[in-house]
Amino acid sequence: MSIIRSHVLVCGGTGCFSSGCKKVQAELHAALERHGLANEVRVVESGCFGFCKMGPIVMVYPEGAFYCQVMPEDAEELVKEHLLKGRVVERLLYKEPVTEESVALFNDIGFYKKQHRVALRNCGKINPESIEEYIAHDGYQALARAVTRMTPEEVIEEVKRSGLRGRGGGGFPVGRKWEFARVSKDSIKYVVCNADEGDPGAFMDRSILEGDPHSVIEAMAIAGYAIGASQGFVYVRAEYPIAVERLSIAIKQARETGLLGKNIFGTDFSFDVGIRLGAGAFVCGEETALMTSIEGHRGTPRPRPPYPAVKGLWGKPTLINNVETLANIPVILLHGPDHFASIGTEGSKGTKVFALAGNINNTGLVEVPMGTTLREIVYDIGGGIPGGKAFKACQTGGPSGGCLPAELLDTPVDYDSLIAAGSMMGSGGLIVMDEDTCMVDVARFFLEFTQDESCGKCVPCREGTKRMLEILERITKGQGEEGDIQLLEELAEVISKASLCGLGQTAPNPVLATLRFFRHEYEAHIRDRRCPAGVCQALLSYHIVAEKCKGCGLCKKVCPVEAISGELRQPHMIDKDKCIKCGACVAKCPFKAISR
Amino acid sequence: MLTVAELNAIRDRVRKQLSIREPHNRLIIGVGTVGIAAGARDVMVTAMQEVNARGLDLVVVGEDLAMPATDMPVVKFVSADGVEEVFTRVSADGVHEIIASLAAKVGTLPGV
Amino acid sequence: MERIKLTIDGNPVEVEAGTTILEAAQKIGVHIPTLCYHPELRLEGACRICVVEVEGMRNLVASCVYPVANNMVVKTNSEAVRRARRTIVELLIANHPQDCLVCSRHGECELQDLSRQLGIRKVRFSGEKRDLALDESSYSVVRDPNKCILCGRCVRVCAETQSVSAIGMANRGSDSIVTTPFNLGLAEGPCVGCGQCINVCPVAALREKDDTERVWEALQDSKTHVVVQVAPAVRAALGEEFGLRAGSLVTGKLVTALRKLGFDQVFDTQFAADLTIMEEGHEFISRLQKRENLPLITSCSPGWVSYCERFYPDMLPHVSTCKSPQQMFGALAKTYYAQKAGINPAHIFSVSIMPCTAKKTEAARAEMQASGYRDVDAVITTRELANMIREAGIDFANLSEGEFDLPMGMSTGAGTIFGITGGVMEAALRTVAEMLDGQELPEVEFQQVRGFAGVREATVRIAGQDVRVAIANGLAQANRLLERIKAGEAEYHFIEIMGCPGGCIGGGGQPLSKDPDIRMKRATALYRQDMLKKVRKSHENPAVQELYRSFLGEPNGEKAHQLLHTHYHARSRY
Ligand SMILES: Cc1cc2nc3c(=O)[nH]c(=O)nc-3n(C[C@H](O)[C@H](O)[C@H](O)COP(=O)(O)O)c2cc1C
Ligand code: SF4
Ligand code: SF4
Ligand code: SF4
Repeated sequence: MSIIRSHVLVCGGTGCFSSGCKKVQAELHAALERHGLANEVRVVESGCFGFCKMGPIVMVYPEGAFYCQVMPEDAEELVKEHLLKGRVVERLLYKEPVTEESVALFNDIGFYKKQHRVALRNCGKINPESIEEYIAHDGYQALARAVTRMTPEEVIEEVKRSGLRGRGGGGFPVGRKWEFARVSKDSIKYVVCNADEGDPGAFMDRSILEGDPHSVIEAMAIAGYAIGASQGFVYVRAEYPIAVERLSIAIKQARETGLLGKNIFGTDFSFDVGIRLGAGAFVCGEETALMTSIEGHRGTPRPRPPYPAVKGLWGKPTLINNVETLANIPVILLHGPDHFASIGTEGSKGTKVFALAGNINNTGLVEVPMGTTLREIVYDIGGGIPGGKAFKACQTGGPSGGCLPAELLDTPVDYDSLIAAGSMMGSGGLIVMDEDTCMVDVARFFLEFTQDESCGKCVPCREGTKRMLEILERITKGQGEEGDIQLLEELAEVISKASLCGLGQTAPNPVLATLRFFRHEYEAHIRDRRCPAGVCQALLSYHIVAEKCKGCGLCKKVCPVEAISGELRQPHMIDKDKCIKCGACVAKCPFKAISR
Repeated sequence: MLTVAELNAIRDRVRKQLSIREPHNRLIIGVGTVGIAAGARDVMVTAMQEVNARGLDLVVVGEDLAMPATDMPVVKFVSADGVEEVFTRVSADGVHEIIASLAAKVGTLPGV
Repeated sequence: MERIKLTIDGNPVEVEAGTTILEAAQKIGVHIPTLCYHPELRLEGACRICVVEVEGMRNLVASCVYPVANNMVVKTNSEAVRRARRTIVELLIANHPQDCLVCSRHGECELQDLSRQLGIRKVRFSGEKRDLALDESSYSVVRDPNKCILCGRCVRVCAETQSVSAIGMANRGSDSIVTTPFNLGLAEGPCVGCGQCINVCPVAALREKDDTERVWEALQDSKTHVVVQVAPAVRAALGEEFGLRAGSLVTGKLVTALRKLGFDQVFDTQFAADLTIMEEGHEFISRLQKRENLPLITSCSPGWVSYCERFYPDMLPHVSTCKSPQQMFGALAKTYYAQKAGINPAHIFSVSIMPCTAKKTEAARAEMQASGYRDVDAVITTRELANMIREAGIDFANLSEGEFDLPMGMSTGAGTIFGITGGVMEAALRTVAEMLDGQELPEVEFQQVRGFAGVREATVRIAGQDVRVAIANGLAQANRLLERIKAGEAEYHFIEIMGCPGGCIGGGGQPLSKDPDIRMKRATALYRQDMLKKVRKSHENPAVQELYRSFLGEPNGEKAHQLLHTHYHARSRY
């Protein structure tokens, strides 16, 4: 009989998948075989650890050693040194970006230390393809408690008391939504899990489905019991193949184990879950569009009321919750609503997962208690801005949110504070921008996204965002006109007030927020024909500062279009008509004599 | 259909297997080059079999313990609350005794 | 029903629960502009023109879809509302061709109306505009996607009212377009040419294929003998184009106007309608007696015939082989009339004035050349005729009353009611009953087949037997009826199907109207004309009797078959 003394968890999330984790797994197996350890050490594919920048990630238990960027060729050393001889492989450990110190243990890494993992509790810890591992971590205990020892009303009451609000963007109190769905009279009702996750850069829902699919299934069953539904659907985008596969396996296992299906735990509660694939349009994440899409029509939003809780899928009362929202549910029922409510702030309970991206050292998924400040996330967890550059702004709420400037870094992240600051929580995208970012260009970028994703049903969004984008493009091309800012603001107001769905209603936010905090940048573009951050190509004008130029001639050599002239040891000149603004000279000049 | 009792049984059984990932009490075997030469691998395998047979809440770990070569093989016990105990020149037989002496201290895993 | 009390612009209103803000406002005479809203179609709430402010709501709400609630305080005219509406209209105009002066909808365009109503004098936005190709593939309908404002009414009417779904929304965002399957053009898809989409389109993105130029040419050519036939529904609607009250019957003025336009002979499609009853009545009696291919289904609506060929090919044996009155007339104009008047049929140009766009496609069908020539050379709609009358400078409202030319201008009340849903059935029953009973009907009006319900059914006692009949108007209703028959839930002897809601009076070539009662008003006019007619049964039309005597021989006889009957083809939808 083989006795296992060590588990090697290899991350199998989408991030690590693309950085080659399958190959690493194979090499680990081979090396274990070579060293005769195959019977003692088990290699387990886990869900995402959240630290995708450092992938592929390998965790070795029982020590809990955390190895990053493990390449297939590292497997031999890992097995020989660590697993055979018990020596930690220093060079593969994580190094703190600022101190350069190596850290062996997962929990000591700055990126994880300030995190509080509730929704991501099992991600990276368990094998997502094993229902038994989920059960070993108290999986399905909450469902058992709900259906055998609680009434639906009691379940709803606990969810209400927990203070949990929707993580899909709206922040609507979850317990109240469940209650609405419960009181809608109908013999057929549905539970829908929104796993469309269209916010570019956000991947918490994907990670949960990949790393802990059973938590979502369990929560959906609990929701089904609470509202009186016996069928659930997970609407997941087809671009998430690993998530879809893990989820299908999980559903199958839950059915086989008897945790989905008829008479769950011997009660008369029955529940099953199906998967519906989304085509990946951003707007299909909007709940009414999502339902229209499940019904087999073109995924466009429809007016509310009627709300889904009254008239949803196929006209039946339907509860729609986000993946992360649902992942919190078993915890609430297991550890009690008061425990959950003890995390977070007055108006925002629990934790929130953010996808850290942009100009930041540690990119990846972080889960923090509500109320953590942006500064803590950016500096303590994110490890600050790379290259010693200054922080300029961070965008929360994805394309529907807004950019907050350095002055607002102490804003606590919770629903209400972010809105008060001029942004929003959204689904948890958090993009950090350094001093080299042009905020007009950022606004243009986000608007380009929403404009492209507009379904085209309503006029303000379809036509309005197009015109706004054109104005922004004009400005970044140096063709802005006096009055453009006002026009942008007027359009923004009408689009946000009159559009049919949340996409249009929030589309102008990035423009409004940048106008609020970085208006001077717009004005510089329009009035001075200048891009202060030096990003907008059309507005760049390269010239050599005569006092700094030593006449070394390097720039002249590197210029691809011979736009630079000058005698050796004499200040050089750039011919603006010839210059193609490639920036090669700036990079080459040893004296920083070229400005733009 | 699954009953709640059956669910709990699965939980307890698998939890035992997974205790490796959240160790309480650890029995560290010095498996550096010198330790292995002195027979630490045998000690380790025996320790694992014994712990498993008794269903103890104890995780066997291999580590490169810095100790004089003459003391090898070395076994170090670290309890959940951080109390350490070191045993030197341990043979495969000796490890049975060590584990027997620790059994009461660490207790068994739930469901065993 | 629960009553809801709210205030709109400071006025208290009480309405039933479930009423929308728009309906509540209409009730107290507050006009809220709309665009994508259409009272007969599913609510979309898409264009956002009808937004209003509701106290306590962060955003404006679309009044066409938003239900009222107790104590709601609505403002339909606040600054925010006005700004939103104006901006929306400006945005639509900014992406719309600016060729109003030469647009076919000039003066009848809802976008133009809105712009005028909101006093828009300047459009602040400019930028990329759509540049898409016209779809001129169909004989009936022209689509100009550049003018489309994407309200979706056409898509809804085609799917909901007509069950055809020949057009749909495609692409996303600012690339959205209304288009045909695979963007192949209307003629390549399931479109039946009914023109209902034109009637609901607020702008000129959908319009009839304009055939007036060909008619003008013929009229101008002294060597061509131009005969014209006018369908019944035209006379009940044309007046609307010239400011007359809806429901005005303008038969006499219409005849005078046609003469003034230069038509050589002004005839009446109603003559051919009476003839149709003779043929179809005999066909029915024969099928009834042989118990063969029942139910018999009428064939005078080309929209319906096209639909049946595409969607219910298995029902084609049930469809009467009779041509529609237009085509019966066409076949006779170049044979019977040519012979009688001694004119070389090659020199005859036969025009028909129809309430219908599908008739244009019908006249172009390859089978429709029984005379050896194209039987009907040009079909123009009521709207196109109005344009010709206007262009000719004719003061229509003050014209004297003219009379149709004989013999093909003589008709009965039965021919008149062909223009209304149920009319063909009633006309047929008047004749069939007398022929089978062998005695005069005590009552010519069959009230049981009248009305506007989508599907109606009745049982009529004729010659000691119960004849079960059904009537459907609008193709979605036809679809409903046929599905019931296919499922064995209903059985009939005789069915009338009209492609358009209300029958021809609601055809796709009729004057545009926002009057919700318009079909009722036009129908009333035709029923009134029927009542005033001295002869009200087709078989009593002396001109038709003379036609059989001197030219055709027997109803359903050999010559009749050659000229007046046709056949159908199953057609693929794509
Ligand atoms: C344009 C748009 C896109 C959205 N995309 C998502 C999404 O990808 N995932 C999601 O959970 N919610 C999304 N939402 C929010 C949903 O409409 C809905 O509020 C949410 O799924 C409700 O779940 P919650 O209450 O658990 O947050 C989107 C909303 C809008 C307006
Ligand atoms: S706001 Fe945009 S995405 Fe939403 S319905 Fe309108 S056009 Fe579609
Ligand atoms: S003509 Fe009739 S069938 Fe054709 S697209 Fe228009 S509504 Fe549909
Ligand atoms: S074609 Fe006309 S009715 Fe159809 S969507 Fe366009 S504007 Fe509306």
